[in-house]
Amino acid sequence: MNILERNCKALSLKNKELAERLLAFSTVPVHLEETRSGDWTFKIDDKYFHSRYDPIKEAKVQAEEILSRKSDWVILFGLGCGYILRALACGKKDSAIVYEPSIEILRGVLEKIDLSDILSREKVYLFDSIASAIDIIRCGIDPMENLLCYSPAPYKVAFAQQLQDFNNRVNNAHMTNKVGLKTDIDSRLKWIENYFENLNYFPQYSPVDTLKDKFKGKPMIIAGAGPSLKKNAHLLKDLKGKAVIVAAITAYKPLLKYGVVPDFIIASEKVDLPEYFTYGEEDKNTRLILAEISHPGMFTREVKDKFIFFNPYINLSLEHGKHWGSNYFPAIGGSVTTAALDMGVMFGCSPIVFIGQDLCFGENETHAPGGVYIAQNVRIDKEKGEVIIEEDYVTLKDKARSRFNLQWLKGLNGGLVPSKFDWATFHQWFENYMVFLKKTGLPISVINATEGGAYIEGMEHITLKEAIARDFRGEFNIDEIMEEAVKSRQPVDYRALYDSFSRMLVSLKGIDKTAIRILKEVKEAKREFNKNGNTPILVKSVGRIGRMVESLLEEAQGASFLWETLIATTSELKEFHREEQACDSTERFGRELGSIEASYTRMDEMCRRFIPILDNILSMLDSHLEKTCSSVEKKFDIAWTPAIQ
Amino acid sequence: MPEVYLDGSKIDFEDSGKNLTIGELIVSLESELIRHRRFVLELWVDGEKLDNWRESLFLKKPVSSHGDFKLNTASVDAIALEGIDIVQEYLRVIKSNITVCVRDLRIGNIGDTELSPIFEGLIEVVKTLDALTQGGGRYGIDLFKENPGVFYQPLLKNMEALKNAKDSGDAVLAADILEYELHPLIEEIEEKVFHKGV
Repeated sequence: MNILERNCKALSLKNKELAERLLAFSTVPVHLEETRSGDWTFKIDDKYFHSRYDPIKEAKVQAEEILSRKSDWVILFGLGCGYILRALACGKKDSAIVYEPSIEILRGVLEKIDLSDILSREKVYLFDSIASAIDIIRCGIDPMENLLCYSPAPYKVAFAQQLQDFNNRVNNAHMTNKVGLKTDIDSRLKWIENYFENLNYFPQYSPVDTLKDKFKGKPMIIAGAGPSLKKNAHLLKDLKGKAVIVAAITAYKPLLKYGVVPDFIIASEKVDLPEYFTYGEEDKNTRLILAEISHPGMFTREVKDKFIFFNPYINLSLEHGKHWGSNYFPAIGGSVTTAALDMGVMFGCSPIVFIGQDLCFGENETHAPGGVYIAQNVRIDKEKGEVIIEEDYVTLKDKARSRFNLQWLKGLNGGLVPSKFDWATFHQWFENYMVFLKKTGLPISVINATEGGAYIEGMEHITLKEAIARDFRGEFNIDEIMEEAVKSRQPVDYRALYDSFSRMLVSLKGIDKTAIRILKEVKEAKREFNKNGNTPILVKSVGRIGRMVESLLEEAQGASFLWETLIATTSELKEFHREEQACDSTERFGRELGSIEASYTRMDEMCRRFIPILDNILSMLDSHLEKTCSSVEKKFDIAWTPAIQ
Repeated sequence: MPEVYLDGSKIDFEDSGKNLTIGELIVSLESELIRHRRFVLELWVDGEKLDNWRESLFLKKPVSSHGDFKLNTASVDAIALEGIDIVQEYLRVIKSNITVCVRDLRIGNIGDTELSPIFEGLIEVVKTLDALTQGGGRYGIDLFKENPGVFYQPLLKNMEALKNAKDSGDAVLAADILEYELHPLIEEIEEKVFHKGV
């Protein structure tokens, strides 16, 4: 086996596709030259990528610099001859994601230099595609871990544009992870509460997948509320009946200013948003698509109809979705327009056209006029890398002021456009989704007709006028299609729901019992530890705690939603374990007992909070089943009182 | 008639034609001083110390236009030793600057790498070495083991290459020149030019 084959064998453990491509590579690889020290270097455009004298000594300096900055992961732009990677490994740093922008370099280097021992390490990844590197950052890196991006000087010069793009995307990907975690911490408990409160609406309104394939080949417009909406929203008025018009809830009122009542408004906020509605005729002429975890107040809005979608990241929904009659969990990238895109694909629409999807700041504005933001003042400070927004919001007396770190996205104008973390997150999701859509081979075209803002890789960028002229053909009656579709909705399976909630209740009661026993044992362990230190009695006590935790984890599988309600606590616990403890082992042990006590106290609280809710749900389901056991066809006529006390 | 003092002692001086320039006065005095391996270090005119007087037009003025001249002399050997000390100190500082710059360049901070102290230091070194070589020759003193002039061209060549590497953003080349060409060259100068213990 030659050096290239050895390297490719190691590489194929994590990137088989690249390994195969390298083996089959047929063009001229970069030429490696021997250095004075007997190692290797190469040059591109007459510039050497490593010292011509002693590249290993050079890499040692670079690795020392990287290691001094203490990061969990090193994101290396440029493999070069692999000397930095090896020097890092010698410094006990072997969690690295390496992106090499040139396959010619990759092939030349892997032909001559054996890196197989490093490439086969568990946390060393090598890519020649930015998207693949970003995938690992999104899926393989904990949001709490910190990253250090490093690029050797020659790569900064030779691949300046790619490096800027790469750094932006790494930053945005990691930000996405952090945003996801923060959203989870801030929202999970409220989502679960909303889910339980909304149970009585689920039989009343159809799941959104009732509309699956009902709009095959028909155009869909998804309107975001970005500043560019004002450039082409007026064209929508003539598209009623020619396209399915879906508005993000923020875009609803701005569209009304142009005389456009959308066919659907999509919303999923955990808080109520009464200010987004007119309470007039317009509301009654549109429909709401609501997430199952939306605020219950949103289900009380008087609109023509409502549809529900179930989220794939809510364990309760995953378990119950099919029982409520839904087999569809949309791919969601954090905003309702991302969910709308996946729904458009599910409806069978094509083309799916975005407008008002700027994903960046406009001229002194964040949103199109006419919505809930009355006046805005956006101040971008490029030097500090931040943006300060002052805005008058319809429901607030005083100006709202917020500050965000600037993120940069590739703009439609070819340059970079200023953005912020949530938009950058959505942008990244769109680009990943377009890669996914392409892979599915579905004949669906997606157009970004925003006419401003960020460029979204994978979408076609043309004006709305051009899209209409080219792709919008014929008319159809949306009301008729929907009426027909709703008739065919899947029935609710109350028996299955009853069984599921029963299992959850049993599990919850079991978890609570064990949590209380753990707390009691922890108290005794603490007492023993404080009185006598590390004794055989303490060791036995810790062993008992461990066994009880194991049993609790098993019991918790029956009520997995409980973990979601505890995400803030588990994150704190994780952070506690990540922190370098500057104390001795005795003190640390004491702290660990304290953190176990805090965690299980919280778990006990959550169990006590949800046990009566589940009791209540079960008694209502029970009475419903009793009423309907003789008439199975009466499936949708229950009206529950809100389950949350 | 102006009065002339040398190291505090008044000397006999006659300028009957009243056309002797100050420069001519100093040249005639220094030709006497050579025998004693001394030279004029300071010049005070009418109670005022003059700076940079050797290069000024002042030397073309007639002696008769001033009241008194006080000239202080110095030993060529002492000044030469001081000059050599300064050059050696310069070279030590340049080497330490090179180490810092190499590290900066290796870790990719080419924009922040400040090469001007190295350039300025080397120019001072060359100027001082040249002055010492010429001065030593005039007084018949053998200050150096080897003529430092042979190193001027390689130093200049390296400085040019370094400037070009920096200007083209080639950090690897700039660091290689500093670490593996300029630094060893300076060490060679230190070893070959200076007498041990000087």
